[in-house]
Amino acid sequence: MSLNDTTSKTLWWGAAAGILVIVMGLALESLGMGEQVLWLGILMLIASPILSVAVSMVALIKEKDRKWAGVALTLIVMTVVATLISSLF
Amino acid sequence: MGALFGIGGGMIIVPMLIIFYGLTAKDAAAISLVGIVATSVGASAVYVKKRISNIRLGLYLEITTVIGAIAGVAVATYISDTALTVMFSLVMIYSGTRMIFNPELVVEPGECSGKYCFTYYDEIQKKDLGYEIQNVKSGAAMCTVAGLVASMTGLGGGAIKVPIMNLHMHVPMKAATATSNYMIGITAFTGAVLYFAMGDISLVFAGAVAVGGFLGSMAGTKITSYVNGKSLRRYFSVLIFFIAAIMMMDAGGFF
Repeated sequence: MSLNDTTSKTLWWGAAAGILVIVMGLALESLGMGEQVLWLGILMLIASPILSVAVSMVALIKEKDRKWAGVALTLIVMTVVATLISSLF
Repeated sequence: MGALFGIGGGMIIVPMLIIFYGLTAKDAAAISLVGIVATSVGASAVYVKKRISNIRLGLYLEITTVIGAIAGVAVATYISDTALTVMFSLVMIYSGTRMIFNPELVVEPGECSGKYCFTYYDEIQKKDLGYEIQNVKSGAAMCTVAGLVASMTGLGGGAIKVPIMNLHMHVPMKAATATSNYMIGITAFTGAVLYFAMGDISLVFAGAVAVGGFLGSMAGTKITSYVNGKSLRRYFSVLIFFIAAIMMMDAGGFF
């Protein structure tokens, strides 16, 4: 599969699965027991963009597009660094 | 809105949560980040599949955006919010004006000889259109500013990124908004995951906003199929004038 197809699939299934779990969580919450389910759903949702960057990187490596695979790797490293730095504030 | 113009919906969600639900600004910003991710991911899944978003360009510009976002956390202590807001509004008024008056630069697919030649699929003309990205390095440097502003104000930064890509780097409007959309999710991730880890987030509100944002973005991607690049450019400039006006009023203490 091409770069765009794999990236798009990751974004779509990541978001759709997250949203589905959130909807279940919201339903359970009306019974007063959805906290953990909501937490999991939101986590799945917000993790999907960064997961898609990892998938793009793998697709770029398969296409032997080293330059842009390096760009994707740099971005992942920067995001981790950014998260660590801002957690200090 | 977010899906159509490639800007995060934060501009709309944050004031609504504060005014109608009485949440504090900090809670609203955290929830809005979750909403921004939902909107961005839903829409970009569609745009990436249709080959309108440029993944390579997005990844590249996102690096400098993230650097800007880190700097923003540190700089926020030294610059006043008001000065930043005024600066931000002026930049947007300038780019909005240029977007109305300057025509887009188009490169034919066969003619491009440089390193940064790409194509995107145009849904109106039903064919691949070529474009060559220019000013790659300075454009990336300018995205640092977009990241800086995004982390300082809690916005997605799309209102700055789209003009940078369209005016400075000569990316066609449709490809620019779609690429910005793809990038916003990654930018918002850093912010959202922090609020989330600290448990500083109302899960029910965040969940509801996420579902709404996701559904809204699906509708937005359907609308863009029918809007051509030229009108999208015009609507976008009106939108950023509007955002600039609100931010000026905010800086002037009207709210």
